[in-house]
Amino acid sequence: MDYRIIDLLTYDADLPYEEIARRLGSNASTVRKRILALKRRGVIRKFMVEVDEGSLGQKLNVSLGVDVDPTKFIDAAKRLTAILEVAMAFHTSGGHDIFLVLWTKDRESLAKLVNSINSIDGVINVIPSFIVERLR
Amino acid sequence: MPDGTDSRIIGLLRQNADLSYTEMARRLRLNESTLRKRIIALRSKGIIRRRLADVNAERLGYKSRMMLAVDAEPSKLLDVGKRLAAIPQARFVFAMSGESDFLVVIWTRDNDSMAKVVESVGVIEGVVKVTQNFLWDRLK
Repeated sequence: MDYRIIDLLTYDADLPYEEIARRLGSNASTVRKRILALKRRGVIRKFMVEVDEGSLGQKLNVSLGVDVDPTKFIDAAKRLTAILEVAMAFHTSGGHDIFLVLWTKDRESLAKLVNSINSIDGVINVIPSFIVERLR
Repeated sequence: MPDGTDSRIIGLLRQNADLSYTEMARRLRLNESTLRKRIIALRSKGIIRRRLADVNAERLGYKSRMMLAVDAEPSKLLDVGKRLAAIPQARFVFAMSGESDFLVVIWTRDNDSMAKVVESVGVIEGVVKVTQNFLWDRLK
């Protein structure tokens, strides 16, 4: 049941307890208790919002593969995730150390952003790719 | 069109949408009722689309996580994209132009199930290369 609650909440965390309970064939107070327990155990870390970036004038959706000096990883990661335009950040190993998904207005603002990311202490290399579409 | 104050509100909500209005108002140095009105307006205009839970995949029991970079034959890009988006274990699928054609985030319970998903991606008609990146964590 926890998995099914989480499946619903990762797509829409605004669902009222009653609606989640109805879809799962349970009752609202059980759902509420389970969600609180999932938060307490750190399974649900926090809630975020999804934003219609186009309406903010952000036309370019870009992914940056970032390579980071391992001795400076923690500080560099904090600074990267604090960037306003960054919508998602993943810590990976294989191709790059961090993948960022971000939105920006135009090529000029992208160039500025890539430059400022490049100058973060510990960042070794930044490889931009365009996101054509999010399929899922 | 949203102004600078709206951008600051959105910036905070993107990091944490679980704060009380009082706490948000304090952090943004805004009046609480102004903040409330602005958030309601951003939602009714559809600028804030929805609220999502950020889940710790490992604590949820998804021990194996990968970000696959997938390359496809240019003539099969659309079909490959559809097939990737239909993988039940895929959390995110992005169609790209740049280093690779697709980025796919996969969560599975264990390494065996991950290997099966990776194999199933490899045999999709039109896929020419699958690069596996271990996914430690989502940072934002």
